Amino acid sequence: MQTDPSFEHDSPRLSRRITLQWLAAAAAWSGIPAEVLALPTVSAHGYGTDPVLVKPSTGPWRRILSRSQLVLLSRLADLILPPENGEPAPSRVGIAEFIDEWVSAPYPTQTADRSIVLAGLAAMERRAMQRYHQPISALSATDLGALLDVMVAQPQPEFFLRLRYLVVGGYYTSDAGIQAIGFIGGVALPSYPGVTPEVQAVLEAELQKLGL
Amino acid sequence: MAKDDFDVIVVGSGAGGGMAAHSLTQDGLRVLMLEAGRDYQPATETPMFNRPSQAPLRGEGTPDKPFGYFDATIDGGWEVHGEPYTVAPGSDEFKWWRPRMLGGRTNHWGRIALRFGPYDFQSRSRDGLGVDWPISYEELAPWYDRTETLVGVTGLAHGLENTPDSPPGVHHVPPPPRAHEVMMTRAFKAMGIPVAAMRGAVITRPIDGRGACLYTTDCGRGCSVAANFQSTTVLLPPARATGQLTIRTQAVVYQVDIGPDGRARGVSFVDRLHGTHHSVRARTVVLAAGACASARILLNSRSPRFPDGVGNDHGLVGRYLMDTVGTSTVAHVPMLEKLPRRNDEGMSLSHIYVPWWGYQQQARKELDFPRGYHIEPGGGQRMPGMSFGDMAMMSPISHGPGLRAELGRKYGAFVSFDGRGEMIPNDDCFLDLDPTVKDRWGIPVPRFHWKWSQHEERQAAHMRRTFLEVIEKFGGTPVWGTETDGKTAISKGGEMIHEVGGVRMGRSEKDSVVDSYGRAWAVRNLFVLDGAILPTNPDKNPTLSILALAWRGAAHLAKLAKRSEL
Repeated sequence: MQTDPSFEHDSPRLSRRITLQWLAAAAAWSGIPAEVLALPTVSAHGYGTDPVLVKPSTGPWRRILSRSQLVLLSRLADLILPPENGEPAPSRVGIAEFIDEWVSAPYPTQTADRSIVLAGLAAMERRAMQRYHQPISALSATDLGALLDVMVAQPQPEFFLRLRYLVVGGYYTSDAGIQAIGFIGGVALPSYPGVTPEVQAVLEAELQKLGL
Repeated sequence: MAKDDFDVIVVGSGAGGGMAAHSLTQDGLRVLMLEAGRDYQPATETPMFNRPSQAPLRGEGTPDKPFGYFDATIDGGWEVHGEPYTVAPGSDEFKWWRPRMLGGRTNHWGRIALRFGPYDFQSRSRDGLGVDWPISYEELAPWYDRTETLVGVTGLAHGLENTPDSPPGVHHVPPPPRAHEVMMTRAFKAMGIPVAAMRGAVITRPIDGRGACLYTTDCGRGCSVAANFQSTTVLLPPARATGQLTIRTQAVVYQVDIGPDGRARGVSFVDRLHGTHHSVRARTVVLAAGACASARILLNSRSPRFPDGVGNDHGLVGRYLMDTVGTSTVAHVPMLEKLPRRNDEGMSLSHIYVPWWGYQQQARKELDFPRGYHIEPGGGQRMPGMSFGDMAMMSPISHGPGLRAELGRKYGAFVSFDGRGEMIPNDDCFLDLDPTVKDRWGIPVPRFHWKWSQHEERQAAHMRRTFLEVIEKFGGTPVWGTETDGKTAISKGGEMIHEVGGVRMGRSEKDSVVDSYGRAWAVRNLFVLDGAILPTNPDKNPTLSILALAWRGAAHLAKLAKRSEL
């Protein structure tokens, strides 16, 4: 459990009552007593209401994930969205660092995700010991995948759903992900080309099928 | 500042204030503009080509930047630190979007620039609801022509009912439709609903030193080449070039100062950074702080002559507040999965829209709501955002091999429909001053009262039914926004950020606060030239009309000033 001094227990941004509700929800599916998951909230400030937009930046807040958690997230991300067709793996585009930025942020959505992600990682570590009698870092990709499948099969797979959201969203908003999805744009044009003949041919055929 | 250093004080720098300052300085008047926020320079501050990876949290919205990191809103959003507002007990929810920057909301607005039509000025005469305007479309049309020429608006002449075309040569040529817009156009036409080229405040040929659209990036970030309309790029530079404009930023005006003669002698403001109070004088005052802020200033301007606020002798200040009716639906479209990759960027906003088509049905009483709406379509293979993560919910493969292919198929296969409809002014929607809550400088804050009527709720239900019908035409599946109960489907008050009214214009002081030029009946050297003066709020997004009315009012002010008739 994190003991980073940047944490404080009664952040005005998040009432303790709500925190305990999340913990109870997390504990309900992970089998971990809520008090074990006593996750403090982050006291860091956000980027403010007037950041310098033209200067590339990531969140200025302190990151909270440990090295082992970053490694585990990278491995899980590559299982969720494995490399195919020559497109890079999430671990190659800094997905764990992005998730660290996200769950370390002091905003409500990210604070909620922090609870879910940290509780989920803790639950997976516990299940690794129960099922394989070794730390999760020692598991093979196959065993880790099986463990991930268990998380997916939970009645309320909140951890998996939020992790997938972060992996898929983070991947396709990376420069490599934008290229992988085939986005066309981001460059100035003298005129807008409209529908190209190649697209038009498919579109017309489809519209005809619908009587349009 | 010496007494009467300025001919006119203009409060606010957005559509109304920017246009007023532009017109007044061109007419040779010395103008002091007071803006509540900081100075803002789009040429150097716009993140034109920044990618998601170059922003915290990939640019997702946060309480600090609710519409996303790159959105051209500074120090604002639904909340402004230290400047609260309240919603009265028992009222429905109301939201109020404010920035604190030069140019106001013109920096991030949607750039949909629609003229009101002839019917819109005579709505009470047509169906007995609301009020008529004190002017006709014909009286405002020349000002629309001038405004569109200055602003730069795309469009084509379609000859549609109550959707006026512009004179030849005024409109900029709109970019051709995107693939999903071609599909939508065919489906609407199969339903007998005409589709029009978008009227967008985006120039497609260079004018006045401004660059033409680059057909990339989001207009909501602003535009460093000034291809879209912002007060800061289109109105204020030429006003400054006259040498007649002085701009004071960080000046939060809270009161019109009334002299013993009952005339406005200036305004008082608080310096937002230092908390110091100041009063400035001029021969004429123009309020253009935004509809709710202008009404608040009038209500807070109390004196022995105006114990309930300036211009409020008949209790009309703050009354008849309106917003636009909004609903949305999102659909997945299998046909679009089959199209090759394409450039769907274009001019950021939709290249088509659907003007209201039901005037004749309403005249025949075939619809259960009296006023119309238009539809703004969305979609395309745009720059990915974090919503890609949500798209995984649509994949039959939860994770592992094959998920990429599913996401690749879904990319650009979703479309959206936003309905934007007319609200009829009613007695339940208004603002007054909260009796206890004050801002950080001790000034009473607005308290909102809100309730949609059945006219708007039935209209919202019709929007949703129309969306579902057209989605079925092109073989789509609605995935969000399927509820057809109008009470549930309708937006929250203020959520469309089209709040207008509160200081409405009319034919006499008994039915209005200002005349058709925005001139206060009670204080003849006080003008209001923002959305507050609109007596009704047609479906057509209000910014173009605010600009045209502000220009007309400011020109009238200058004429009176030259004749010493103010």
